[in-house]
Amino acid sequence: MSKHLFATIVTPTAIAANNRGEGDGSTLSTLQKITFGNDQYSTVSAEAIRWAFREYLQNVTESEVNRTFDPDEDKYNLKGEKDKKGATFDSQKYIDDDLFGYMDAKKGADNENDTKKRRGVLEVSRAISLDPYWGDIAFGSTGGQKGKTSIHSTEVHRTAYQYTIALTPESLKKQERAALVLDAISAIRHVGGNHSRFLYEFRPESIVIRLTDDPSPWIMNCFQRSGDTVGCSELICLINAKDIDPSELIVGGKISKTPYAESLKQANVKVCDGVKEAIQIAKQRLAQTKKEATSL
Amino acid sequence: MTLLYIECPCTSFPRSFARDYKETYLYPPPSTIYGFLLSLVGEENLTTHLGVELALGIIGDDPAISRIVRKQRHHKFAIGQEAKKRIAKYGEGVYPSSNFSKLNHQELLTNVRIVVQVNSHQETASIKLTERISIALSTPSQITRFGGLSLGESNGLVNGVRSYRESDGTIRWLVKDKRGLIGLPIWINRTTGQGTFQRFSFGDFCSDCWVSIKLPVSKSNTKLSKSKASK
Repeated sequence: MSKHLFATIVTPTAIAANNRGEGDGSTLSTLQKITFGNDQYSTVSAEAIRWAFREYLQNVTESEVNRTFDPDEDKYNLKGEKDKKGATFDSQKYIDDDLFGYMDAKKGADNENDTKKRRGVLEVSRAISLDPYWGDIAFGSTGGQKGKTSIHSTEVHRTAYQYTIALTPESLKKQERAALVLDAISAIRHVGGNHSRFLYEFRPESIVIRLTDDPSPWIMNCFQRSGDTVGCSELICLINAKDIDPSELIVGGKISKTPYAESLKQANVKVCDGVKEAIQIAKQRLAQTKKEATSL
Repeated sequence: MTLLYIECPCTSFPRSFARDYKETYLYPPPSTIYGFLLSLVGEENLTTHLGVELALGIIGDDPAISRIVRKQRHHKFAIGQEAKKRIAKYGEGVYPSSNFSKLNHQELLTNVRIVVQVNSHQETASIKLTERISIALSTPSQITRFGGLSLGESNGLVNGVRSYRESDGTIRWLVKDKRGLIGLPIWINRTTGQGTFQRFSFGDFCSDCWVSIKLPVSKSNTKLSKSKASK
């Protein structure tokens, strides 16, 4: 029996400019874009979100994190890197090696493949904007003396993003680390780009959490734009079609104030006003399933 | 026989011979689907269900292709003095990501919706793949598996798997066709990079839709079987 934890998160609507310096040689900072159907949407990579998870873990429990980031030196340090040929990673000892996995590409003394790797247990999907990108650009220039390159422009997008995470707690070396991931969701920071100077809130405004035996989440991209706020009609359809057992779901955040919440409550879904409350309930359910599994 | 509906919001099926620019196949290769089914039922041995037959169909229009920028690892094959310098600096066979990763373009597919039909008559496993799939779908609590369910790349998370319903839409089946324009891998040997491929075109469901998943017959094996036959 494997219990899987899935969560789909939608961020607040704000002006995003998650440009990470992947310029095309011009002075235009471009956004990453992706095509869905006939429209173009902006996107934030899963790696950027994973970075934010790492940052949280480092802030909360630095002693148990292997790869730490030193912002003053702009450098990463691996605690496990004793010497050039030593053991670098330890998923038992370090939370980040356990959650995110690692790969240490090496050749052995006889030139054989000596690569050490572990697949990350926490999986994060790419975040995709709720609104199509219509090509908005903000213009700016550097202060003081102007030169050839002092005028620059930045692609910006006023939108909200949604992404999904997946985790099988029993695949972790220490199962209690799953609760830490749930805490990290609401504390996520630096995903905004513009070389990370730009503030874009990436906290969850609304969240859907599912703790289930079902190997597939069924809740990916379940939020869609509905007027000024967001809706989840897709989720309600899936519950009505009996693809999702409503008792497995916990919904929280701003969505609880929309008419969609009424339909969810009628279908026997646990709906909370706040995101943190939803996360707390999910943590309790996680602890409960762990208890049941150990008592078996 | 099992008819499965699979939906994947965003993924990539990198072409077997792609170089720096990672272009994607437009449709999921049978080898990918086979791997996905093994992951669904929690099977880690790739050869357990060899001989199983798969038929693949696409629902709706072709998935849209997007191009994104992503950091990729690359190893420079330094030789001579250059290699010695690198080893002195980092150690033998060590490739730090700060020096050996670079930006690159990659293609992604969005909104992939497919139908897979599975036929286990030819496989030798005692519990057939079709039986294991139906257990995984009806009583997932009986299945022990790990990781998010993904199709293609490991971050191409699958949103859902279930039995196909008429209301999902009409299916365009991939039919084996030697002159077809859709070429997809059936099996890739990760050690040698060699594999077997099949060409397809779209059509109605027929016996030519079935693709058998089996290990490619390598040259050494053929020689072996010939010598055995002569004896």
